[in-house]
Amino acid sequence: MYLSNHNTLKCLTSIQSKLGKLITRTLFNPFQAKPIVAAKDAHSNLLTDSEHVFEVQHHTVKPKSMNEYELVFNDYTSELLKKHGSTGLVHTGSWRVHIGNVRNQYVHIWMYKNFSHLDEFVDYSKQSLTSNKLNEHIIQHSNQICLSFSYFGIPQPKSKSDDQSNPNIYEMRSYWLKPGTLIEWGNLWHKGVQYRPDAKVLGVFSQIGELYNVHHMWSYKNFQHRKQMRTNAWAKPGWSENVEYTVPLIRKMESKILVPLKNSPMQ
Amino acid sequence: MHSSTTNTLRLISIVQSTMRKTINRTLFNTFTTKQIEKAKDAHSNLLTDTENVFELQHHTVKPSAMNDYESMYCDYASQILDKYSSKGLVHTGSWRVHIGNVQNQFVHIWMYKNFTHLDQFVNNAENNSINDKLNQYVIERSNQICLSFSYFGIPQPRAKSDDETNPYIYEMRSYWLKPGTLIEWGNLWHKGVQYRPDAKVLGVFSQIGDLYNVHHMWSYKNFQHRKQMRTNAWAKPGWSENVEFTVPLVRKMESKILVPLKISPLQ
Repeated sequence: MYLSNHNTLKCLTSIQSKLGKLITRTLFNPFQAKPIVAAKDAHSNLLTDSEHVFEVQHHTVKPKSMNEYELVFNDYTSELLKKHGSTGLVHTGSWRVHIGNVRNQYVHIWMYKNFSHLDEFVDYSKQSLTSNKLNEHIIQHSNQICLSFSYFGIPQPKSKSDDQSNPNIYEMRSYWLKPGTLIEWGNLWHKGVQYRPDAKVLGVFSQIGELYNVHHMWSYKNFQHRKQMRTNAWAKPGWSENVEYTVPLIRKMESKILVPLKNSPMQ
Repeated sequence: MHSSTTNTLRLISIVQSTMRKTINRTLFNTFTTKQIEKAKDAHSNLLTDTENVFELQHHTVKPSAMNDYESMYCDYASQILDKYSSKGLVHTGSWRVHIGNVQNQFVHIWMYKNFTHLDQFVNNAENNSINDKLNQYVIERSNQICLSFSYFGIPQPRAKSDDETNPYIYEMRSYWLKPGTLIEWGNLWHKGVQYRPDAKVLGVFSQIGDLYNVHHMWSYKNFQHRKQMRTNAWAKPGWSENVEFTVPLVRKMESKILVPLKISPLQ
């Protein structure tokens, strides 16, 4: 009787510990047991240090009209800037998706002075003929209003260097985070971005549109350069822990290679 | 014999409590260890206090046909109201998406007296002619039947004030909740909505269509007003806890800025 009790208890204990490990491993990566920082204030106060507001537009265009779209967009941009450039509208950049989930797509980023500045654009009846022409070629357009992480700064125009035959390639990495994890993400990438001082262009989180959506943009001379920079980061101590901690916050991630359009201030 | 049994029993109780903590932490994020309230009755009995039923329609329209669609929808809405308003059909509002994941989209909200009232509209053959014309412009249409949370009330028509040059902007925040969390959501937002008495328009949860889908609609004079109202809420004690507790219930969230159409009763 004693033996059977003892054995039963042993059996129970071993099952429970296995169950415990199974649950921990399956439900929650064994990586991290650190608690996630909860928000005590609005994200816009905690994560950003400027009033600037970014509009990130994704235009999915009919594949056979890509070239025409580019020409019309050139006119559309000049028109918009003539009209609104004096009030502070800035065209940060325009790119075509070269490699990505939706390849017949263009990404445009515009910068406004602050949220009030957006009010000027609400009345859509002021929209011009050019934007109607543009709409002929578009299958779907989506946009979101984003704020910039303080440690990424405000993107500056960049021209192509003379000895470059090919344009710079831009990589836009988009992350869809689990709700509630934005502060933690901000803290971790504040350290993380120091491992990649070379290539950073833009780091924004969405406020209107798809929420808990973060975009990081990096620029490289070419694919070889990209490979080198990324390998170098792994060689530095601390980068792998950073990755380890950010990974459980992510619901979904995607990356695109973008090529700047001819009229993009960022080349 | 005695000591080994005691030790084994002690070990088991330690493992059990660790397992319980692990389960709590993994399923509900380190934020909260409070129990999620289960449903003891139908959501329609617990969360809402009227019989009114809302139909939320999302029409994704060809970008080149947005204006045509709008004028056609004007006719469509008057025709439907001529026919059915005497029986209690109410047009709550119609909006165009100004900023959002799908920008070439319109949102329409219609209110029926109760579920029985929906039966009058099941037979499609009656709606044919204008509906067909509208459909030429529509790429995709989706709708859902929703009920209103009791603490949000029934949205009332609002005319545009004379001194307003720009229309009000409406923000529709959509949440896709984890199944089983609707009662908890209702309880938390019952408190939460008191921090935002200024801007509330509509708060509904879906019954048919995309399930565990909640929409809150808020209205603001302009983007600056929106920023102020939202910042003010964070300053009030208790709001950040409210956010903290609702965040683990959310699978996905999205927000859209909507601009009312000319025929919308809610301006």
